[in-house]
Amino acid sequence: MTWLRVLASKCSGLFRKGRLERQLDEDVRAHLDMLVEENLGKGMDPEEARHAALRQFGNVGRMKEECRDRWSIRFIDELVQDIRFGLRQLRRNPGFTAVAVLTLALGIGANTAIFSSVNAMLIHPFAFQALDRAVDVWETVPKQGLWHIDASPACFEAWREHNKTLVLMAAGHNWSANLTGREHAERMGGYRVSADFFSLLGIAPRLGRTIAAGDFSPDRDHVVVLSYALWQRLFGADPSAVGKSLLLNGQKYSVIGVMPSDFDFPVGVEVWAPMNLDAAAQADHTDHYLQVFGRLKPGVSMSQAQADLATVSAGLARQYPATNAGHSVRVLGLVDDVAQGSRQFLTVLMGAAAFVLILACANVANLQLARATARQKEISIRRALGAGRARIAGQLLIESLLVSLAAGGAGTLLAGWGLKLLKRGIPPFIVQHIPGLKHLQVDPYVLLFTLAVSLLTGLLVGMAPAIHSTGSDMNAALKESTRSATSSRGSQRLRALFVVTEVALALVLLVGAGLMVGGFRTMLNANPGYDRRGVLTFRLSLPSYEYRDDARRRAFYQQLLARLEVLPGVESASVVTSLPSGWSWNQTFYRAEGQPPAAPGEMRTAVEQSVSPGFLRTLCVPLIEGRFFSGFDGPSTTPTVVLSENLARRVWPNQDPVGKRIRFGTGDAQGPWRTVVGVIGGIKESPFAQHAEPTAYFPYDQLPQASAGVMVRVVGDPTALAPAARMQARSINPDVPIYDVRTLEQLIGDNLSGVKSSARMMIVDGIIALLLAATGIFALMAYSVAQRTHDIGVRMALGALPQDVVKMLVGGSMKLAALGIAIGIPLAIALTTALESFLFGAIAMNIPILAGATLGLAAVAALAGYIPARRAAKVDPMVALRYE
Amino acid sequence: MGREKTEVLQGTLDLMVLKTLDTMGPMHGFGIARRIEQVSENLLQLNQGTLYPALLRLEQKGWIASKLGVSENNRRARFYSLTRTGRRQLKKEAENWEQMSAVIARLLAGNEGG
Repeated sequence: MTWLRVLASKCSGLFRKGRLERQLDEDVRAHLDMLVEENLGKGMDPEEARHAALRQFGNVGRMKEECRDRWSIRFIDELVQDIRFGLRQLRRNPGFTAVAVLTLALGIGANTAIFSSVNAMLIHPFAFQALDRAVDVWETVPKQGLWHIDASPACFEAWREHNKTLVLMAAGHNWSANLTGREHAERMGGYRVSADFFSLLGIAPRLGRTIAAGDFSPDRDHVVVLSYALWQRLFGADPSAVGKSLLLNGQKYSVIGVMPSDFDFPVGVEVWAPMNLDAAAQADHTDHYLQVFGRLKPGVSMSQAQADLATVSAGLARQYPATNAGHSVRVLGLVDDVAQGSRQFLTVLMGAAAFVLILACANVANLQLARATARQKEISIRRALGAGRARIAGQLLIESLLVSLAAGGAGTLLAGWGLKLLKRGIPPFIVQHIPGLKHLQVDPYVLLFTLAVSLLTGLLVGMAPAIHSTGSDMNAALKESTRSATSSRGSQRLRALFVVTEVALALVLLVGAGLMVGGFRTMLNANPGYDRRGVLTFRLSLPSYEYRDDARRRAFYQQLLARLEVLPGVESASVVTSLPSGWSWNQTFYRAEGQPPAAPGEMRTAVEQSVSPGFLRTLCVPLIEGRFFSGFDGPSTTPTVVLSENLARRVWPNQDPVGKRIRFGTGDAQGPWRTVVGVIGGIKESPFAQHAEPTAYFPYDQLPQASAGVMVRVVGDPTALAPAARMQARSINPDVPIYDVRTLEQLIGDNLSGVKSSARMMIVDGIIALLLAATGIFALMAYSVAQRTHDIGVRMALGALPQDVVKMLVGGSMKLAALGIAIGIPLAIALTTALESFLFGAIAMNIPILAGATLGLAAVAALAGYIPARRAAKVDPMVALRYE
Repeated sequence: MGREKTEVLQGTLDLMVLKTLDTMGPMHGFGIARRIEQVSENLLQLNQGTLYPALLRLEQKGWIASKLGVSENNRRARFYSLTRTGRRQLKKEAENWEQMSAVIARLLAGNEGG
């Protein structure tokens, strides 16, 4: 291990230079003195003694040099020298340095900001062990194009027992947990899980324990695990909370554990409890409500697991054709699955940020080239003094690396600031429900990314000048006067190429930003089939222990609606199963009377909604045929149904549906026959939906649901009504929690917040791009005007008018801009095609946006060329001619 | 002047320094140089300066250690001494050297004979 010791000593030598140097000096002096003394003793005179001593000692300089080489690592020494020199150079040109650092900081900052989002949402949305081995498992019905169906309990059991590719499999389902016994009822996001849920995710509790196999036996006490946030809220982070109990849905649950603060799975859940399925429920093939998770065995790929589970599902389909025919399975990476919504946005934004960075690089490379031309002499002198090509190129690279690292630092600050702004723009409801969004920040991964990007940027930016300045002939450069430095045609052409690239990229970014904003507007303003203005919405869930039977639920809703409708300013109120854009729809099978039953696995489905008679008025949905529900569609009258227009057309094409009968329900649509009494306009499920979803509406008196959305149409500001509405609901029963209180417009806006943030970021990218392209053109023109002062002087002396000069110079810059635009347009069109699918068809190739971006860019280019041109035209020909 | 002086053979200086320190105990640079010259009976052409890079190299390898002291003439100087690893290394190098010189000697003898 001797070499290791040598290396260690050399490394420490890097930092002890001064001391080692002094030490060596002392040693040499002592040695020489001793030699001199000895020589004097031999009877030499002092002068002679000194000469002899030096002769005996040998070349002091060479010896010292040899020692210095050994002290430390030469390469690093040179590096340190180069860095010092680079810093001096940069300090000497504060203008250049500031512009270069700022430009790159914008580019790097944009990338850091986007990567922070990618990191938070796509790479590390959860802090699970070996996150990449965790999978989601869904049932599918390929023939009906259904790819994400929750699994039935029997199906989950079969997968769990018969699979050969997963270490563990667990399931869970949402659980509406009403917390009572406190000041007022609170509805909590609950989740019931199977035995291996926590061990599958590999998360240990912060306090107490997680759910164990023993907690599932029916005679055991009810137990519950709390989220960190809930523990803080309910118990003030008291460690003795474990062992205390909570009243959930009217039953006592003892707290057995608290999860760590970064555990948030499924997103928004605050309490976890054991799944309580009896034997009958476990054997159920028809009800699909379980989310299934798995962990791949070591060495097993996703597709192997997929094939394995598909075999199990195929077996089920053969064994239980009535319920499972046509059903298959889909295995997806957990992260891929939860990140699906964000992925498209982030991919587009990542691309845009990369474009911005390329633009910034082109700009700075351009500046560097201009400076390298000006530094030609300095470099030639250094070469003449013996610096090798590699050393010079290295020196230039180090300079640009210094710039890019400084820019990386500044960019990180910019990104941190930008993220803060961005986070403020995201509605709290969304932050709570998008995995990873809470952890959006500049973390070590992001810093590493930024460092890598900065280094890469430095290399890219430094490459051009490094190659350029070492490639040229130093003799020529030394002989050249300042003026004829223009002779480097190659560099001029390279710089023009940079500008053309910049213009093309800027155009693409501007068009992209325009399209995103346009798409966002289109989606926001698209007609959803109802009037979203002036409506307050909230959700409630009736505690099942108190509202076991329909009569009680019916009574609650009737009372609630009656109280809401008499509040001042209220025009109408309605109860509905699922709020529009609320992202939870119940699907139901249907079968029309007189039509043959569909083969198993090919039953058609529709969205089912239980609504009160006020629904139509509250949402302003048009009645197309027949009538809507009235207070008379009750539990003892004929079962009725109202269909959405598209469902009616689908079931009875070209026939009058009113008066016909149809049944709904699970399995073979086992509900009662219902008479169609009316047809109403379609409603879009969300702003992303391109078409209204076929929907069947039932009178809520006939099918009162345990949890519902409430909508209240108000004159004036709907948010002002919120406290009164809440109070009314509480006054009926304080144990009924009211939650998600938002206006309908907010609800839709929350849906679009991803698009909105993306559009914002794209606008920022677009503006940066425009600025960079403008400064790029400006810098190139200003430089070439400075270079051509003599030439311009000659022209003017020969009779050219100032406007001719301006025309010539602006023409030059416009030519570059035109070339850039010509390249950018096809790129932008290609981008549109890509964005089209991403923005859910909300945009098509948009001529006004394309034209606007082109004209805007051309105008900016003209201005950027005009300013230096004006200056040139004002030059006195005599001065210009003398200018050397 | 009589006999011609020999240049110090590449790599042998280390061995000489180690051996010198082994027999003489801690010494300063001048002393080491002087000792080597004495032992060689002035057959060796030693640029005394070349000693310092060698000392540095040996110190970096951990075979010798140095500390400041006072010379016999009451002068502050750096004294070098053999470390334990240095002693082990000396043994190894000496064996190597003996083997090598034996080989060379045999080769030369063979040449003369043939």
